[in-house]
Amino acid sequence: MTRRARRADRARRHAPRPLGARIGLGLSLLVLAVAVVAALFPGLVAPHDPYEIFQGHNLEAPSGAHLFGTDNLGRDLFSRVVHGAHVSLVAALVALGISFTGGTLLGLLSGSGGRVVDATLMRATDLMMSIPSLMLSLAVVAALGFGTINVAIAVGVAGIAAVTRLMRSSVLVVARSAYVEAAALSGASRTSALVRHVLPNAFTPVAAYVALDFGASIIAISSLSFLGLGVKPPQPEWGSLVAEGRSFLDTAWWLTTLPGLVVTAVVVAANGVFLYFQGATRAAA
Amino acid sequence: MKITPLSAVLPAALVVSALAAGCGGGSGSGAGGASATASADTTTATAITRGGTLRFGDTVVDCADPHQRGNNPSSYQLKPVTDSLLAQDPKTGRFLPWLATAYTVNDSATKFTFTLRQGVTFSDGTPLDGQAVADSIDAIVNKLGAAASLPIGYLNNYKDAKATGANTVEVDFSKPNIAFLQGTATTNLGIVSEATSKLSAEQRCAKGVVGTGPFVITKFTPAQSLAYKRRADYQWANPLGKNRGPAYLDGLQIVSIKDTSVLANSLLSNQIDAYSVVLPQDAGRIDQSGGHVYTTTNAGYPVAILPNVKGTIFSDPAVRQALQIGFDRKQAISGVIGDWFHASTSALSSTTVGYKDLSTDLAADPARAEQLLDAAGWKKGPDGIRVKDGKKLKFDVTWEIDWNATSSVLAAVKEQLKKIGFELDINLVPSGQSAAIYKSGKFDSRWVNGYTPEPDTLRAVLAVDAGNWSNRASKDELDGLLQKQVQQVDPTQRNATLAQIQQQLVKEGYLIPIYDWAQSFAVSSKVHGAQLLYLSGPGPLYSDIWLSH
Amino acid sequence: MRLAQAVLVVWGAFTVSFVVLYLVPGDSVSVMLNAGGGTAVDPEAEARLRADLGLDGSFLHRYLHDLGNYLHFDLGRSADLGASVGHLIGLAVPPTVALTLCAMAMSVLFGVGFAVLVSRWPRSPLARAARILPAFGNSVPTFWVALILLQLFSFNIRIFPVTGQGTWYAIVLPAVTIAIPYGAMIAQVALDGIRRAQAEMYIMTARAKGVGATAVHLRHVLPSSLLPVVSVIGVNFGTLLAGAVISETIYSRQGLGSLMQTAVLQRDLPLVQGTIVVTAAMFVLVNLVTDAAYPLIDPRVRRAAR
Repeated sequence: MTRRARRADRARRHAPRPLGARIGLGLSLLVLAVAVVAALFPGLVAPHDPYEIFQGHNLEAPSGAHLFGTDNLGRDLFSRVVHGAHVSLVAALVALGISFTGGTLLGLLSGSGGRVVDATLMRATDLMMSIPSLMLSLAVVAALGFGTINVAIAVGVAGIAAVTRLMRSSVLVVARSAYVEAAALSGASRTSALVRHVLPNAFTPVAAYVALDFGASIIAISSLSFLGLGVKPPQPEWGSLVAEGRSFLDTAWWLTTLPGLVVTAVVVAANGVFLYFQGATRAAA
Repeated sequence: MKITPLSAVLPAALVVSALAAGCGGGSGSGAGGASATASADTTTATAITRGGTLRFGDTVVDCADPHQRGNNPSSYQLKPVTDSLLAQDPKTGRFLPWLATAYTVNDSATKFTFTLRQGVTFSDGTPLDGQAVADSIDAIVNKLGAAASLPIGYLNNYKDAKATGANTVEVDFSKPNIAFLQGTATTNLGIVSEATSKLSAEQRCAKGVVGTGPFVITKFTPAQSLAYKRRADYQWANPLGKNRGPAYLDGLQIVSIKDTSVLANSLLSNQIDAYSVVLPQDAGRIDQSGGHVYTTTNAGYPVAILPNVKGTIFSDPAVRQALQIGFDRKQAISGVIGDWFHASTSALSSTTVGYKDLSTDLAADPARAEQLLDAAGWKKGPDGIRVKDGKKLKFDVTWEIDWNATSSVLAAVKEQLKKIGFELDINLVPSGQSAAIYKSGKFDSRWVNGYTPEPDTLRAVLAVDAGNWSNRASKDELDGLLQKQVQQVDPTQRNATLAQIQQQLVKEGYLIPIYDWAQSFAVSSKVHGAQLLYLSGPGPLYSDIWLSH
Repeated sequence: MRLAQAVLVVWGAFTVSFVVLYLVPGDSVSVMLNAGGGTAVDPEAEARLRADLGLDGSFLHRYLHDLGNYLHFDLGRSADLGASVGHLIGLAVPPTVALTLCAMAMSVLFGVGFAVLVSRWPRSPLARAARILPAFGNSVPTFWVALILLQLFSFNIRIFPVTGQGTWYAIVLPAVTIAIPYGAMIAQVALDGIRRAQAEMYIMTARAKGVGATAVHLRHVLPSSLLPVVSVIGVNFGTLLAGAVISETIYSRQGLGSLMQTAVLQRDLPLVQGTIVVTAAMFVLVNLVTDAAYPLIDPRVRRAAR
């Protein structure tokens, strides 16, 4: 490719996105930032200890003293949601890490490893994807036992197949492209070509998928916690907070509604980031 | 042999009427709303209407055999089909004739005989005779075995059961077992037909049992649907029931609702007529809608923490004693669970026959608890939790997920214990896992609840040569007392021994009772006549219930 | 060839679940013996039970034994419920099939309908705003939506019953709940397909010929937007099944989802395994059907195949 052509190509890829999209991105990043800060430094964001019982203040509606109200034990719900963010988001990151490490390795292997390896791994991912991820996660939890770490592992493992597929197709696209051929011609080894050329370029669509999967992981982890397989009481976690508030829908609506809204907001934000990158990928296509 | 005419168990009556004065239980303490027992059921004023099907909302049982499923609320679903030999009056503790018109117990509590009522038939037409009763009891031990985990607790040291005449039956034990007597007044030892007694455990689960009860199963799919219709020829109702004949209801239907949080709304939107296990926040709403919540404290040992004394911080009696008085029980449960649950005042619940009030010994005294811990060498660490020889004053409380109790109370206890330097960890494990954990001994304490009204469960659970759930190394005075009570036929003597046992348990901290378990039964405004009998196992008297239109 | 692949996938599901569950510490026996409450545990009875169930063999021995059983359609016995796993699953499959088909129909109807409407008037402000909606269909947690819908439409506004079964309209709320994320995905795919189709030459030709915008939209755009939808329905069927777990639990419906959830909570391993294998089989079946249907819908593919 000529240098001019390459510059034009890069310019097109990095053309400024429309204003609406940028505002969307900004808002999404803001929400995510708040969530991340709450997750990393819950003590700073939460006004109270999540386990502290305010005797005689059970089931109070949201007010100045308690932003999200109190639960049936008299604990501050807002503080519990903030500390729950810590649990949920860290678990989601763990799950994401597992999905991506596993998926990238397998995808690279599959895309560049030759026909037999590719075929075997593709059949394996077909298999994994034929079991709905929630059911697969349930099976893993049945094996490992309850608890947030196990739930995170379960969700992570269930997500490997999709990332493998994605990575593999990116690898296949890039591997056949010009730079790799050029690199091979110039004598570079396959591994170095892989690392220096394939990996960076295959990563853009994958990066967009990170945002999408982050949101999905949060929902998957919350769902499993909701079903009772996650945190041990009295530790707060978004899914288990919604579950705890379930029997209070008529009498204390805030216990279920507010944590649920928070989960939705964070996942919407993550999806917003994904949309932005998806739009960027499309513009570059 | 001491013959005990059923009408004259005077000493017991004296002891237990004192209980009745003190205990808050009974068949109708309302919750939330201001309704007293009488208001919900002015049967004298309203005429009883026959007919209709009572819809009870719950997860349908997976097994229709009352000998294999007896927990609350499964027992609500399986009660209608069998009757028991005797009934026990909750107010006096006296045994009343039901399927058996008379009974005898020998002095050593090893031989029990029953004279059966004439004219009773099972729903398959076969007569209730000595052989049927003998087979019914024998099957529990020799056919069901461990699968009948609740009833078999009443048959410790069972030798045999035989018909000694057409209408008499004798049950023998190799060692004294007075607990059997109360067992015969519970649904757990309800009498089933000879045909049923011949079936295997799985068959009984899948098909249900044939009994003499006021209702007969018409449809059963495990965990999916269960329906009953009444027996028109039923004439031998529970002596405590008001209706002496066939049930007023045409039938019962268990409506499959797996999510317990929607039960209240289902009742209020008229999709079911009744359910059990009411949540505190719903009691007021139900009362306001014209319905009623019946509650009663269950007999047996309370909901408690049972420490493992082997190899844990609880091997030190000072730690157990500090825990016993280190937190305020009333505060832990107030607002968290319904106000029909009362803080425990002894190692047995307040409605148990033989209960002794030890509220002063269980009164919260965190200052004294801290003194005990300081004296035992437990010093407060930087995070507020006490430490001794590098070990933290930390313990876990283990239990299984499908047990019908909330972890919220433990969360409240945990917060209180933090103040005196204890750290409590809640350890909820999946079904089937707890047995392995308890066997391995790798647990600090169990979260337990008395599973039958009989105080002998304390022996079954704590005696060194029985369950020994606390893993005590050797027998001591407590074991002597536990062995003694199961041999004592005279209620006064037995209650005295039970009193000593409760005192020991509370003092030594072998049981840390928190609150007395109570049943709750919510009905809509259409349902009348219900009463809860806690001494016969959970569930109402279905033959008394009627529906208004 | 496809069929062979399908069989391979189901076998794979069986093997994976067997291996995973083999690693579990407790086993079915302790679950069975604890089912009734009470304290009695008889070690002899336990050992006997374990031998009866064939749980005391080596890994390979047990694997082959179970595989053999599965090939005879014997899926084992549920540890907790005592009934045969095959029987329990047999009872659970029809309600789940009904639920997922109903949800699928709703999703396709509303997803495609939404896409068609939005793309017919692409410049209207409503359409512009609405276009980003599908992306958020995946953001709402199913369990939360289910609770809110149940509260609103079963208890507050009493349209639907609280138990999601019995009457025909009881299926509505459970189906709507799981249709939301699925429908959102379909809408996105359909929108994408429509946009691509609109750029095609034959559309411009039709417009040039004077055919009305709406007619063009419906007769030409719609069919081509359906193609990607069909291909995506099968692959993402898992979303519906996953949603079924939550939906069936909250709406008290029988089905594979709630069976799986109970099985996991009770650590009922034979049942967990059976459910996974059957779910995989269902998924494979749906994909076989959609793969077969694809050429029927797309004339180009059909012609190419000839």
